[in-house]
Amino acid sequence: MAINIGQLTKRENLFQNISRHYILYLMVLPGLVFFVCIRLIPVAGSIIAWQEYSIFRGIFHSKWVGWKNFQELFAYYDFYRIFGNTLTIGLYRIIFGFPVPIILALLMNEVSHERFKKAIQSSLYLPYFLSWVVVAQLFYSILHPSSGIVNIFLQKTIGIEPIFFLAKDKLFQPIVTATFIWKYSGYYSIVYLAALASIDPQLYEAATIDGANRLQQLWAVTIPSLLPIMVIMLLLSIGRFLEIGFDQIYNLMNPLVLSTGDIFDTYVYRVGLQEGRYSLTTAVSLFKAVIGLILISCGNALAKKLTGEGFFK
Amino acid sequence: MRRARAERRIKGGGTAISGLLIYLMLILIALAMVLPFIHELAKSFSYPSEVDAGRVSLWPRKPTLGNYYYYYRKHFVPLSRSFGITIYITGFGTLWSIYMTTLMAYPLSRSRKEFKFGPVAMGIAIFSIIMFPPIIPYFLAIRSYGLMDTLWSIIITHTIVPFHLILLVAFFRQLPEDLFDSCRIDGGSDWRILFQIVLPLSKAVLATVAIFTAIILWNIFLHPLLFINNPKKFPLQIFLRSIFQGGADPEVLLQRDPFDNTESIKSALVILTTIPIVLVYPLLQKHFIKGMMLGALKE
Amino acid sequence: MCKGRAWKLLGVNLLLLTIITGSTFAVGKQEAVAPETEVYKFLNTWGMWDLSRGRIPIEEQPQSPYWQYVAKKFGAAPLTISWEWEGAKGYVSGLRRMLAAGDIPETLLPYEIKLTSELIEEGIAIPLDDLLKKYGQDTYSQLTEAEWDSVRAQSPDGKIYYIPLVQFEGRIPSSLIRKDWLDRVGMGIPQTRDELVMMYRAFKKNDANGNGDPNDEIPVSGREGMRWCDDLFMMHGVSMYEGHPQWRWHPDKKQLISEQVSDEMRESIEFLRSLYKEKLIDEVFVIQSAGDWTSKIKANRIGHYLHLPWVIDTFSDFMSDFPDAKWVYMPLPKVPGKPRQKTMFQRVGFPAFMITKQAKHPEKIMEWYNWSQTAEGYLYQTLGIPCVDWIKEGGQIKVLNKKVPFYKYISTPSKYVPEAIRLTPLGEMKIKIIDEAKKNIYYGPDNLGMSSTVYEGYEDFMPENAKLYREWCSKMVVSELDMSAWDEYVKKWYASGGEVITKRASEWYKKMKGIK
Repeated sequence: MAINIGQLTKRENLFQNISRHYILYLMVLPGLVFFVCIRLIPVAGSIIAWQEYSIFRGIFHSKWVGWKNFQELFAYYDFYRIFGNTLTIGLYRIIFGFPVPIILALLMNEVSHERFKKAIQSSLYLPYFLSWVVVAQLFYSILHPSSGIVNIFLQKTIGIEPIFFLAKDKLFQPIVTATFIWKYSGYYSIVYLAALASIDPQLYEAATIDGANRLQQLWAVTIPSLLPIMVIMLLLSIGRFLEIGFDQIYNLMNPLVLSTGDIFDTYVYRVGLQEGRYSLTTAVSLFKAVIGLILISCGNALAKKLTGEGFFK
Repeated sequence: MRRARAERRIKGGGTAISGLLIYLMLILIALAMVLPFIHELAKSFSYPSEVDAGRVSLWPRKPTLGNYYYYYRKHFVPLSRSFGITIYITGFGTLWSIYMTTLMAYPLSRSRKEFKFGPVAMGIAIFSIIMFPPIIPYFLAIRSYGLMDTLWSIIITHTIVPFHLILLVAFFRQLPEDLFDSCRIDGGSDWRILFQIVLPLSKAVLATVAIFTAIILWNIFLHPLLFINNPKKFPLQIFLRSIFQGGADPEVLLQRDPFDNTESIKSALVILTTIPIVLVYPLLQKHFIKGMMLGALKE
Repeated sequence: MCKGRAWKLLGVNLLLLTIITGSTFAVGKQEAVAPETEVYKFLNTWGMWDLSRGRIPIEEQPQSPYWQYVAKKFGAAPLTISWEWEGAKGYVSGLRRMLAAGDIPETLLPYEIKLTSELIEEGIAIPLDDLLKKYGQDTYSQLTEAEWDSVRAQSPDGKIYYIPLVQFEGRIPSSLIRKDWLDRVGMGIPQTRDELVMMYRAFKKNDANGNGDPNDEIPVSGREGMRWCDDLFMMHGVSMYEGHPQWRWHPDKKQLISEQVSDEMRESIEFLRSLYKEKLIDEVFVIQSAGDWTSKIKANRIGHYLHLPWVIDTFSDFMSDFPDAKWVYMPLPKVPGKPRQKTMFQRVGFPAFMITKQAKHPEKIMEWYNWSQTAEGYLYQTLGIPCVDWIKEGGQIKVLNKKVPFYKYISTPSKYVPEAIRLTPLGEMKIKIIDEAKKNIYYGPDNLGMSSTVYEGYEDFMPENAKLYREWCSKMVVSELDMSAWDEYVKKWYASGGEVITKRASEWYKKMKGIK
């Protein structure tokens, strides 16, 4: 009954649609309220970036200052450093973090011993479940200048003086990248493992018959089959470029590594929330969002070129 | 099983050495994952002065349970309280989120004919994935809703995780339409379709989304940092952070307490908070593997 | 296959159920204080330093005998809250969040000059001039007119909007050395910088703390941002308050120069660097939290540290194992090439007290505050309730109850009452140290009373932040950077705003002192 009527009345306006399928609209209501109140209204609240916002006056009574906050932002000597750090750390993550899950999956795929595989997998996935609070403390502990195992090991084997890893700003970005890889690689390798498992074994048969060894098979069969999913994952990570930042950096950072560790999110938290410079840091967040949007559109365009599809149909 | 092994051997075609190398590399990698925990274990069972002197690497020195007992002595109430709060947030919050997300996903998965608002709602959801609100206006908005210093501030802000919404929508879309149609013919409303047909078929995907959500809520950090001031409402991660940072100053007792603010008690806390996860996650492994695959393939 | 309407109802009911269950469990906002009873309960935020010792939740505070004593005395008593971790920064950000949530307490400790100005500008703070005149004479007499003028200078209309912390003699930052350690290594109190280093070496090498382990001693320590080792800076002539570099007037250059970039600072950094190289100073001190620093001292691991004499007993946990432990005061050692320096003592401290427009009975509040600045108040703060915790018999004070909580629901006292201090644990030692410390101070700094508008647009240069200084100088101390980086640092400091604020500061100073 419903189907036939639907075919007859092709152009049904919203009102009629609502009255006919009111249940659907009812269902979507709580979610919509959520999105509007929690996700959209705060974005609209970014307008305080053009104000000199005071918590005592609120949005409607704070002074309007035009582009002053943005000017101050670009004139700030630390701005370029924060920008640079954010970009660098994001880039390191992609360059070094992207291949690792693939390599892991490839290695694991070569293993036929189920028990061994399961044991390795368990150890790989565990860090994903832990919070950065715990992971940061874990790394702080192993890198501690006097009690950390890394320094103990270095002392015993090479006999050098203990290194205060966490206080060295030049090491901070590599440490951030390493901890990121440590935490997430196992988890992301699942995707590749699944893809590997779905490769037609006949392709391998054919390759073996042609006399290909392991490495050649890798090159000829495995990698090409993985290419589409690799591209997707790469584009995803580009899209997420500016995202997962705060928890990790905040928990790993200390005053000594501010120069290389401070990123947009930690800066906004510190200067915005702790020091009360609300308008200025909102301008910073907006700038970050604009950069993020640019990156995503680039990623989307790339995706369209490479796979014929974008994220958004 | 045998057939799989045979298949793999055909696939292999490599030398025994390369096989061994692969095993070795994997073992090394697994070690890299596990070593930090072994170190923490060792420290947690060692006496503080041994730890500070750098004598503890993989095995405890001057073994003691004091580091763990320390939490019972001095931080029992705040620790168990924050634990309880996190369990509550994770349990209730996940249920809440699943319910709301499912409720919204169903209409969004319907065709444009049925649900005209669909594309707009999807647009909002996708916009939310790309654009997380700037922290300061987000903070100001949530506080203006009167959610400051409440556990609702965490739960409500995670009512729907946009990514999970998309997952569910994609899944619901590919459910067979004829099941829905036959239910409608029987006079069933959308409620009935949702609860009687869609949900039972979606158990796997819902379990996965539940796990993803639970992980987010268990480890939640930024939200309580922003919104919760009252130490009595600190969820687990905030409490952990306060101990790791060494800032929490327990009440001054007149006797010397050799365990206060030492590295060894911090290690004990790491182990304490990792244990529940180690116990629970093997059970979840199956589901979230499925979920990851679903997620990636859907993209 | 498809059953009845039950499913539709189930859907709606589930939704309602989850909402209701959630609401009953989710804990609500902190309850508002009902000021209707005969005792005026006012919400007060106070520094975590006092409260971390024995903090109890607000609901339980009225049951405390100390709260009740105060309530009876003034018909008003504070319900006090604080934020404890991350030290002073955590306190201020907690306070800001509370204010952002719209909860404005009746009284608060602003701590930060910037927050103070904001509160004054927004009209949240009320002027205290009349209240001080009528109910706060003891408080008012604590400071000189000039010092009050420096408070007036912080507001646009020249009124007093806050009461600064008045540092009494017990709060003179003092170099505290463990005398028993010195005895064990057979040395006297260092008089010169070289002797100081020799002492450090002796502490490090030997079992100075007497616990059988020669390796756990840390000769000297500090806290993150190179704070609380001020004496190592001050002995070179640097003007510093709680680890924050201040300003000094250079008559030859006719400029107020920030210690962040002075030559004396350079010398201090070089000295710290040499200590760090030799591992004589705590290797993690540049990022060490207050909690960790405190516990190291309490664990009998630190031989020399800087702190306030009147609370040395709060660091004395280890004395249960080492009852012979003694502290002794060290005047700043002499550094080659300059006369022996004195400790800078800033009597006017951070903004400590502010009454907001929310207060219904500001007079009662002022009476309450004022009392804490009297000798009577001091005795209460130190010893507890008279006739209950202590009594005065024939001119002599006798302590009846030794276990009194630190926080007693009045504000930090500022009157120096030696006889009361003498009766607290380690009292005699405290008096001795204070007496010596008093002889070795000068009042400062030169920028006392300087309005925070000098830093406008360059808040990173404020002494409490001093971002560039903390970053570069910490690195020079731990040898991340060579000392040769100093010149680059100074250049950068001036170029990124230092020049502007130096000019502003110098103008202010000249105007204030009437110099052309």
